[in-house]
Amino acid sequence: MRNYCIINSDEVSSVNFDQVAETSADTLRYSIDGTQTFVKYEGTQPSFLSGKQEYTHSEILAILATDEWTSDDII
Amino acid sequence: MPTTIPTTTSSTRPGSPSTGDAYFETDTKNYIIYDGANWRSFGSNISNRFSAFYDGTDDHFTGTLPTTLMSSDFTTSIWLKVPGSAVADGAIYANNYSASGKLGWRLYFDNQDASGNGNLSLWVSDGSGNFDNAIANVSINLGSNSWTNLVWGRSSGTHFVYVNASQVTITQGTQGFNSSTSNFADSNQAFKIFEETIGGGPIGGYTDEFAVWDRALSTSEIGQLKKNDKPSDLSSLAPEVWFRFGDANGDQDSGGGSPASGDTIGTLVNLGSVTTNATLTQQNGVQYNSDVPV
Repeated sequence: MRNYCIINSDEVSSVNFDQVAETSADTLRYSIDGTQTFVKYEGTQPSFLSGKQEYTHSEILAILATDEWTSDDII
Repeated sequence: MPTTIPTTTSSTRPGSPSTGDAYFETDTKNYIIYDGANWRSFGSNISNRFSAFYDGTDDHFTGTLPTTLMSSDFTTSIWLKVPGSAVADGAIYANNYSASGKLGWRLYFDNQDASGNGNLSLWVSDGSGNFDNAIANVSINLGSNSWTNLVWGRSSGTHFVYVNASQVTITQGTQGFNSSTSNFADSNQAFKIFEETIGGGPIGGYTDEFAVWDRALSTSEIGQLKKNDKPSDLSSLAPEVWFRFGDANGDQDSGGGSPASGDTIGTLVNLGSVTTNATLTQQNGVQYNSDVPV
């Protein structure tokens, strides 16, 4: 089962991309204001995320649907 | 002792068959038998074990299409399964959309219309701030959590959409410019499936059997994309691009092994006729899944 963690954008440099599903820093999805992003992983939380809150798939989808992450601009 | 069935093709069937005559059609891969009045076709669907699964958070495909593809007439086909809940509206395909100095386009799915149906729009950008809504908010009932074959193409400057082989009436929206004959071919592409940057975020769900032709398929040919409500073998229709998401010889998981449901997708092989510049690369954890069109 996948878990998800939200991190601050200035923490991206600490992400070990061998331990998360995200491909690289260039493919991360950021919040609208650019201050946050997230990563996902299978099973145990990687050590570099220690202390970060874990979210389930349904929980992260609900967060990503908020105005902090989603723009109404579809054109 | 095996029996070798004589072969023919769909265009060279015997003109004066006798009742009970049987052949294997090498182009359609069907077994046909003459019943005295008509040819009856017996075929199996192409083997299909895997699709691509997107969790709807940030995963998508990037890639390229052959650089001369989609310059005028073209056809695209994809199988989709999109749950109606817990997914954002988003792009099914996009290429250089809204990029400065580039002609871009985005086939966009909106699952939040008033009637609850999934709508489809095509937006084209000219690279200097102008947009053309060439297909405007057409209700095609995506988001029903059912496998759907979606065909989008253009013939002599007119776009067309088919859903499960039935043509859908389309209308145009706001036209900041007229893109009806715009050249969609590009030598420096940024093609995406389930683009993640659209306002509502990426779609979650499944895709299978993505194909592109550098011509407008006929209604009859579009009817051949599915058989018994399942994907057909597209070989006889000769697509330029055809990705099977785990069912092509050579498809691999991200570790270089054979695909299995739940594996992160690795190498995908294009079974189409164009061998260069036809690539799909998963980003952010698109996985193989055993949920396939039925």
